[in-house]
Amino acid sequence: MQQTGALRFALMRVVSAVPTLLLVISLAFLMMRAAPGGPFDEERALPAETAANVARAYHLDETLPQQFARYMSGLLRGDLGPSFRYPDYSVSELIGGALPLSLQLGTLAMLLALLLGLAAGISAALVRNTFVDRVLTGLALTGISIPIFVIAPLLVLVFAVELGWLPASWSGSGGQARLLLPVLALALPQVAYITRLTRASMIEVMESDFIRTAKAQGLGMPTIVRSHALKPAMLPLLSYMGPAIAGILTGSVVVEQIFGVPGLGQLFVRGALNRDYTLVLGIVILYAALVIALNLVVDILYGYLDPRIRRR
Amino acid sequence: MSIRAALGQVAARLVRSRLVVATAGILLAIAALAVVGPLLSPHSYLEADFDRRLLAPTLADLHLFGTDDLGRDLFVRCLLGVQVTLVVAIVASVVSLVIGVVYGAIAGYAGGRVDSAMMRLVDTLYALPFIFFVILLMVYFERNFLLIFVAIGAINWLDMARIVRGQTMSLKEREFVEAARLTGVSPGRILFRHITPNLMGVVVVYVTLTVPQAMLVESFLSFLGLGIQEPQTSLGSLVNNGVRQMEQAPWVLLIPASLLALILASFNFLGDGLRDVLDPRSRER
Amino acid sequence: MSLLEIRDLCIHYPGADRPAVDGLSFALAAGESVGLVGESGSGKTQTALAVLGLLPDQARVSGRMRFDGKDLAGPGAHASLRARRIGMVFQDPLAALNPYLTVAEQLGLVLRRHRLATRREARQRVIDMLERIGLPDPPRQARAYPRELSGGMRQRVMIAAALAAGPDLLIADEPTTALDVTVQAQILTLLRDLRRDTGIALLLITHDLGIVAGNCERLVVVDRGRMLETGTTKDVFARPGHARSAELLRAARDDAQKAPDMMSSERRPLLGIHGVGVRYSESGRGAIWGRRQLAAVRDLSVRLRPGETLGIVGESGSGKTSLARAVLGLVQEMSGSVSFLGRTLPARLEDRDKGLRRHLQLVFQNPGSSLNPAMTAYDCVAEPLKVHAPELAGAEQRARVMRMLERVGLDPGLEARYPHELSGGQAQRVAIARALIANPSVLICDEAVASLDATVRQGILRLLADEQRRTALAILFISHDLHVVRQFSHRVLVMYMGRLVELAETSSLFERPQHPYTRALIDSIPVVDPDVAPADASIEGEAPRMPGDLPGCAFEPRCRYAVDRCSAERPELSAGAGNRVACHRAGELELGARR
Repeated sequence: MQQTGALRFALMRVVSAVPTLLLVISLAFLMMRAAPGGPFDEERALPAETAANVARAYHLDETLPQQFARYMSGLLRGDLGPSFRYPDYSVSELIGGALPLSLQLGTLAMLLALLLGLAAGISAALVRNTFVDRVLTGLALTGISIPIFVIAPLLVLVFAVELGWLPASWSGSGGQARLLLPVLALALPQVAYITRLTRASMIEVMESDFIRTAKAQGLGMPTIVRSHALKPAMLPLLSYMGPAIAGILTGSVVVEQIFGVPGLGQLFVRGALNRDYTLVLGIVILYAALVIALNLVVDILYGYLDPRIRRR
Repeated sequence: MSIRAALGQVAARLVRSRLVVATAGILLAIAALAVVGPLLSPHSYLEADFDRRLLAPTLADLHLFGTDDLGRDLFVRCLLGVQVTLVVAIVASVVSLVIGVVYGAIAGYAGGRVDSAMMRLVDTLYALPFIFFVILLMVYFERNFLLIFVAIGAINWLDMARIVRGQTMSLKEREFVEAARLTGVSPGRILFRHITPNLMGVVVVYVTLTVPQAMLVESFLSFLGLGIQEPQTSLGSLVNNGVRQMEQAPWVLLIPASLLALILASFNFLGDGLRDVLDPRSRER
Repeated sequence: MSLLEIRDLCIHYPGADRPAVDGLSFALAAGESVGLVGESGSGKTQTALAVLGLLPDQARVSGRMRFDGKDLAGPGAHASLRARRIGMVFQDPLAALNPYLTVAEQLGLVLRRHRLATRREARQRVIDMLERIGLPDPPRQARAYPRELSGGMRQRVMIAAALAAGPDLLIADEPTTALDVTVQAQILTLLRDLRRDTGIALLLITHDLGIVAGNCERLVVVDRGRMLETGTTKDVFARPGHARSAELLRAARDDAQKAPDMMSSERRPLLGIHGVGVRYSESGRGAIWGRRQLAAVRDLSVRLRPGETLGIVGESGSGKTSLARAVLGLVQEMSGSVSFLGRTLPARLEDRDKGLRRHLQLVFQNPGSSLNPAMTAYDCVAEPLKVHAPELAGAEQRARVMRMLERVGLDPGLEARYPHELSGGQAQRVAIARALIANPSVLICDEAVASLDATVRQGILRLLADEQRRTALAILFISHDLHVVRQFSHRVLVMYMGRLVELAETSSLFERPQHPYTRALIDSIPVVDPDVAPADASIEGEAPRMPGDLPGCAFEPRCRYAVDRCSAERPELSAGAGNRVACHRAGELELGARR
């Protein structure tokens, strides 16, 4: 019964994610179509015949439903159409080239943020109202107040320009050291959020009646934290994972720009500034799918971990 | 009479909170400087002087913050940036406040099917990486102020709607509302006398937290070159410009960056302090 | 020699206007059972927490505590005592158990900590422990999360955990306050059995002198942090040595008084409840397909006359509150009908006009949530007047509100206070004033005195009785507390799982109960007399939380008199004079009064 309950919960979440994804795709597509003027308008005027050829090549001469149907059927095959700016490449190829690097950066940053944030948050909660706690909370609140596009250049300024310890740019160097600063810049704001969240929820749990019971039962502090407090304290963090993932994706756009990392974020900004409609559209859909899928995983995990949701 | 008394009590508690007073003071001082400063300076934000590029901060000729790569006075440009960033953030927050409160209060008070349909939409929108949609909008359409307001408001109203809806729902179920219904108090009076006053605290707190979020979105867009356009400026664009000069002239980055961080931190600390004072749930902890 | 000795214990919190505990001294011998008695705010719980070193960090503690000759001063002194020498049971077992761990996991941690079982043995040992404290189907309950257990089972689990390491002293802090009276009797029986079997000493913290009378050899009376007196239970009950403890005793015994006389001779019913049924549809978060229906009240009829108080009793979940809400028009779906002065009322409150609404007013259990925190006492009371008599001039309105505040015994100086600035009793008086100013014919009191201390409760009950005498107010008095119902009601209606099982004049019901369930409820009331030996619980188990539709009598699974017919056929409510009762065996059983 417990298993079917969780399974049904998971199934329901998966089913409800599909319309969301469809909505995203249609919205993004329609927005592109609704935009005044086409991607080639800014260029000097093309000869009428060339313009017609271009329009035909990109299927701009078809009706809206036809275009949408064509786009959707391509999407199902993993084909996001040709790029408007890099005619020799398809959008899928461009994305495929940039994605692995961004994934690597994002995953590393997320792991680092969790590691540091959890450690800082739990320690602060356990030594609540001491000097160490005040320093950690102060740092965390400062951390969420410094935007990532300020942190990233500051890191460059200090560690690369002034101290010269680490490479400032991606292309000028090789090896794994060049990953360090971008990962750090991406992780730091999330460290601050996770620290605050972990501390608050850990304090709340440690003040609850059942922790007092555990103390009355003679359990030692390490056992209480590990066996009684950790799981309930971590649950609110799980629901923060969705926003954290979105935050890391957003941050990667800035960080890749500043460090010159040839990843998806940079591709996205370049596409945006060049008005490369299909490329931007493709990346937005990919990001949305990623966020929706990861939120889904988090939701399902939550259902499995919280007995209060699982069985009622 | 009672509302004024309640406000008086809250005000007294606020004044006692040093954090709230200090951060509110800093924000007011910065806002005042942003309005008055440019009037006092001999320079204008447009005036370029190619002989005086990337000057370090100096009292000479009153370039208090130095100059940028076009020789424009950084003091005046920074204050203009503060003005623009604050105005955009506050207006956008008001937009999201109005939409969020109305939407949330209706959903919460109506309840039932209306509520679940309205919240289904919010949940769906919530799952979207909105910032990318905003960028998409900025790519497709002409970049203008109005669009920035709409875009930021569109992101932030979701939070407000959820919070107000939750509060309204729980207030509506509270026994004192039932007691009022039993004595024949009209729904309008219940909403106005019983629910709204108890909603205020939470709304005020979340507005203070919404403003820095809106600032972040605006400066993020401006940083990418998709927000406020030259020669107008905002703190985000100034930081972007500073990044390009940081190896020769770090102050061009550091000054607007610190201003931005100071304002954001003040709002965050203010919001934290306000929540301690106004939100009974967090006080219980 | 004393097992536990406390001398001059003081507990102070920075910023508090008085110490939580102020110079408390008492001792407890091995194997002895001592009651620590007092009303809320007397420092009982603080004392218990101090013994185990569980007070929050900001508490300032002074004085001496010794356990088994060992001084409890200094850090770490308590740690070796917890669980091994002193076990503790808390008031609210739902909050005191970890919602994220199964019963087996929580008890297993205790066993392993005290090296009573290895990881592998733990599961079996837990099942043995659950068996010992009388939990049905232990292997299944071991796998359950606290939320899935009933209140009584949760408290049994707490007791099992407290006893796991074989302590010499059990501290029980209001262990039955959150439970139904029948379950309270079960838990007290369990504690008595355990004491008999193991000889463990008991420090029982309670506000209920009835519980002390039957379960403690000695008692310590505390009030506002100070000790009033201590002595054997018999002595103190017979000759209280302090005015305040005499007052506490009087309040407890007042509770056990007989019902007042009917004030009105009017026989025409004021309020008629005709075949009322209430169903709730519940939608769990995981349920995609369909919602399940839950019957809270089933086919219930009763009439209320002017000037009459009808008590409604039953365990939690028996449908008392749902019935009240149906009468008031606050439920979504209801069958049957409610009439007022012979006119059928619209089912929904929204369809009743203002003039009608004022006749039915409600007083809630907790004034903390039934008064708007943003409105002053004056505004709370004035609001109904503004709705029903908007034509009143400001001065006249003010005069009426002030008169009403005075009538409910409130100092007029409190008019500008907000609810959180009032004591519980004062706030409840404001709530009553708000209900009375509309000049109602029927007042529904839903556990209106349940959250108040006994001495405060007596004042509120006197106020309600005065109002009834003055205006022939009819009162529906819902309570889980049979003491209070007996004292305050003319007739009593007993509900079990949504059905009326017995309805009778108060004296007849308490002296000659006809339904086995009524009998069990009455037997469960602790007697405020140390000379009466406490009766063991007379019914087992608890009412199921998700009742299905049974073909027979709903009480049959718990009834010791049940015969085959009871599970096959639903008993109808008997007609005629005397007790009206829904039981197949009502005529043949001799359930006579125990006392």
